[in-house]
Amino acid sequence: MKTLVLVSHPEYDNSMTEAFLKQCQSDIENVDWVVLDKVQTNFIFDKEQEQQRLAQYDRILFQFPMYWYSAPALMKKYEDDVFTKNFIAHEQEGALKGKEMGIITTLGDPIKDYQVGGREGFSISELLKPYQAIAQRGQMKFLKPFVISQFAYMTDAQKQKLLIDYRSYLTNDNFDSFTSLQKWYIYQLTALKESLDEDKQSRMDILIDYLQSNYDQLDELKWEIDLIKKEDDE
Amino acid sequence: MASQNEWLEQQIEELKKDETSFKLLSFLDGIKDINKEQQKRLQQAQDELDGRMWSPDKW
Repeated sequence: MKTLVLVSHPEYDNSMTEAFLKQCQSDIENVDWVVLDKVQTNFIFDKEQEQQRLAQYDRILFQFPMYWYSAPALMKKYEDDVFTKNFIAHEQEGALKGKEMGIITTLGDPIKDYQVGGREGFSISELLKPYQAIAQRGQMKFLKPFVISQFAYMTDAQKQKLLIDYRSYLTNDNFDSFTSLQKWYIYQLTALKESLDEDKQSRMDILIDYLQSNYDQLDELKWEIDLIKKEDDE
Repeated sequence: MASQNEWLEQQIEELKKDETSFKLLSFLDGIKDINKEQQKRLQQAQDELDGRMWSPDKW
């Protein structure tokens, strides 16, 4: 699976969050990171070039800080320049049909404010409706958004978790399923093992085997339960 | 369970020794979260299996 992260941030070079996220994914081969500021000329995008770029990926992610309940202006300009009706609409060319679209958004305020009865009063899902509409028009699969709230206040432990969740959002086929997460995690540990010395590699093997055996046990129990359920139904 | 968790923590600490990569440290510490969720689901699945096998409907 190939993933594209399209980043728009008016203060990109000064943003701690963007620097952190960039670092989080820098070693992943199948992920490309494109900063919109660097591919525009005089606030205009090359439509042909960008459409060709989008067509190469399976998962397309828009990453931006929430500015007045929406994306920064440059992200909207990208949509306006690149997303022609023919390119998006599934009944016409529908070039992105079947691909996944997701939003990574950063908030300066606590996520708890974004809900009915909260200070902002609207949920992130409501605010991201225009993106969901584009995905629907293009028959793309709209992913659950990835929301990062108040990065500046995060502890090291929270940042560690963010790194894992973010990488999973970028590269895990089904990041919302625990079954998929376990398989993905074991794969990540196996890849990380290569950077360790021999003694640590064997230690890592023990941990990988341990997680794998838990996974297998769970799988077996689920199978047995499903069998009983089926018998009960008959 | 407590001793199993202790064993896991110890293994992770050994692996973390002298390592500086934030990515590696994150994934090592994250093993505890994966394990915790696995243990919870294993317990739930085992309990469900026991419950279904001893269902009064089958008496």
